[in-house]
Amino acid sequence: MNLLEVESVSKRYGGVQALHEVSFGIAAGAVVGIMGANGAGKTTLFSLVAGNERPSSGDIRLRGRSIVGRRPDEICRRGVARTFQIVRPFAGLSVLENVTIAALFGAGQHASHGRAAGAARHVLGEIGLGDRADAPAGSLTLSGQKRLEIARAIATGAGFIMLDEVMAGLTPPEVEELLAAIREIRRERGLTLLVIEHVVRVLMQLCDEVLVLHLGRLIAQGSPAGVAADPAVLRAYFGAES
Amino acid sequence: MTETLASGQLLFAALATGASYALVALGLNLVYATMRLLNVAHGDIVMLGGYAAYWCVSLAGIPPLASLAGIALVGALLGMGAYRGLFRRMLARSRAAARLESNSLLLFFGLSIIVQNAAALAFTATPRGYQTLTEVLHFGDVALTGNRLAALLVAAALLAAIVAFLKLHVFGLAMRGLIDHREAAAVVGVDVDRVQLACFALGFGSAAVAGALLSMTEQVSPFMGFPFTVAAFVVVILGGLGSIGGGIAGAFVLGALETYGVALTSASYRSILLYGMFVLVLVTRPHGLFGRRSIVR
Amino acid sequence: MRSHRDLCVLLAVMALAALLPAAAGEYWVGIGISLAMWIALTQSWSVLSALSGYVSLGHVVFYGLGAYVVVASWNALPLAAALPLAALAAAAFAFLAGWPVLRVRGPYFVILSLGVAELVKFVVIAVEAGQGNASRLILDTPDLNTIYYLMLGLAALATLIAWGARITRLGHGLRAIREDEEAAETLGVPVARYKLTAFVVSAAVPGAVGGVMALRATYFEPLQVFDPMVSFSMIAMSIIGGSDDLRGPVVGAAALTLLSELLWANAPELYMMVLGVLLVAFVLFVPEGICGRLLAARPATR
Repeated sequence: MNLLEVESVSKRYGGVQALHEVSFGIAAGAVVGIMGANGAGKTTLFSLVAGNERPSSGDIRLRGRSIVGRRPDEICRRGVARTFQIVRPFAGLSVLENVTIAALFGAGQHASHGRAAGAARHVLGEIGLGDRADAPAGSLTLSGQKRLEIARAIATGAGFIMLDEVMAGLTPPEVEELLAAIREIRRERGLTLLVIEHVVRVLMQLCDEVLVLHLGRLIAQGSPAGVAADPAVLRAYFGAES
Repeated sequence: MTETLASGQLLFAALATGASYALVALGLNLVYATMRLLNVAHGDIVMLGGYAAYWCVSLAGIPPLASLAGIALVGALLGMGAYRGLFRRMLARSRAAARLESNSLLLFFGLSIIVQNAAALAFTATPRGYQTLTEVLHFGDVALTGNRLAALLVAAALLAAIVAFLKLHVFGLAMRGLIDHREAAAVVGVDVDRVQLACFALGFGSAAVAGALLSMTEQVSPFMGFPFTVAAFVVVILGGLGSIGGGIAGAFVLGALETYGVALTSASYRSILLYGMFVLVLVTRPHGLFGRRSIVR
Repeated sequence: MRSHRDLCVLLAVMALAALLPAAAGEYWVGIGISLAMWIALTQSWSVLSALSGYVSLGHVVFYGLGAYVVVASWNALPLAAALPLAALAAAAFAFLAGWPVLRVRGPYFVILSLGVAELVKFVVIAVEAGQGNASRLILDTPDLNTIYYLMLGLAALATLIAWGARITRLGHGLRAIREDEEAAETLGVPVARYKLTAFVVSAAVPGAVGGVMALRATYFEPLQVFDPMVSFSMIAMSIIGGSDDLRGPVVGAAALTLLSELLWANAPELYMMVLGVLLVAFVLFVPEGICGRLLAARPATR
């Protein structure tokens, strides 16, 4: 049984069909990438899986149990976490408190604030924010806030983490650094990752499998190299040959 | 009972109430739609307009219909001053966070308290009224005093004029563009600052006029503004934010509901109807007035 | 921890305040009752509004309902039952109203709470009118000193509850909700449940406070009791005192009680105007309140 099973999921906003009968499965321990132009429906997919929104039709199953209609906090406690494409830190709280909240309320469910803070510090160290723990989250740079998003997601103790364009806006050295940190954390905790990325190099290096979304439909699925050569993908990105 | 319900008298009352709500709500629609901030002091402008008309009559003997233009002008100037002095700064800051929106609301509430109590101090809390155009006119089985008829006609004329302006004149179109989509309006060359200023002028001015018209038939008191603010909000939410036509339609719906509701029950239920509508409308639209922008949960 | 220390200091001060009736006359006991009342109300309000960011402009509804319960049950129930019933009634109303009302966000929640309070006010007026009452009178109420001790107890209770709310999971969750409700929910905070809990908890003590004030006034008139200025004052005291601090409501209540003693007798409108000006000034220039300003020098350790 796959860890995550997305079955014929569609999402409609009024006149706009954001997703059209998308189906795929993710095995436990896998690292799957999603690519596609803006508006392809990638972030919408994350919102549906995390429970921030409801699919118009179709089913989403986590370890065989349907999570459609469940509230986001329930889904989080079942082991799903996500980052937001446009970062949403708790700006008025400290960096440590941001991550402690995740540790306190997420799937890990630490018993006390003290324990949660301890776990939070550990994660901050792993992601490279250890020295900024007491700073207000709003004072971090964009790169720092993106790391904070990741730290929060990890601190929930979730086994399945969805990363939404965490590399966007980072310089190449920053990308390398973050990539290394993510790989290490993933290895240590045995995480399953679903990653949206525009930086193709990251997708190729990090992922076992890549999904390609185009205008709400899944047009290709396979190994990174295979997808890169897929005629449907080439057509979507470069246009048909005359 | 059905005969009373179908009476022309009641219909006229419903129309009159609807017209005054429409005028007040129009002002709120303009100011609120551009500001995206809740001006809970809007009803107090109505109150000030009413007092202005009262003082014109008692101190200078100027009949209300004659002082309307002056009151509208003063209201407009007040609006422009408020925009330049306070709201423009608030607008710039409010884009930062929704919490600032709640704080801005508190700010306007504080201003409302100040204005209301200042009026109470200056004018005393005793309701004031004056007599004007009190001859009774008969239209079939409907008996009206001249003042009610005049108030309704002027309100209707003003509404028509403003709607025409917004639909036909270039500046009016710019306003509607701004209300609909601020960034897009700026991109196509609309002078956002000037149009916002004009919205405030028109919004405050029409509220002041509504108050002056009201003073012809009702007494004015320092704390009369709040129910108008509430009614205006109900109307704006019902009709759809920024929809001028929707606001007018909603105003007449509310006016009818109130008038006929009171006729069916009793005058003491008027407030229950108004606040009941207010609560109902807000609760059934939990995404507020910007359904397009936020996600419905 | 700072909040533990603050709590001990506050409770010690309140224990000292219990000596007031022995030390001073009726006039001062009266002021003491006012001060204790505002502390109890504002501390309770802050559990919901300061922590979660859902600013309630209609909190007087709980106060009014509590007063109504005590007055209406005066001949049927002993005070020892009526006061807890008042608190319970307020909490129950919060529980029922909370479901629909807490779905509304930001400034819309603020005006909705005001609308609900006004609606309840007019419904109570109608119900009373239906029974032929414009107002109610109660007789043989407890003496001033007893009322003082009751109110002081409520102030201490409210402070304890406010402290408890802040240091437990509930407090941490509410603060996250205040910062970004959707992000908080995505991280596992049970947002709907916490908001409702805060709402109910913040309603109970004001219900009891309303009941005690009914005893003091011996007179219940809905229009007077469900006064929106009570809600407004709670907010002003919290903001002026400092909403993120356990001592904030105490500081704010003290400052404004002093102000009202100076101004109220001569010109209640002037007092309200000054209150309005203070609120505007603090929201614009000192949003962290007096306590927040005082703390600016020292780093925060929570």
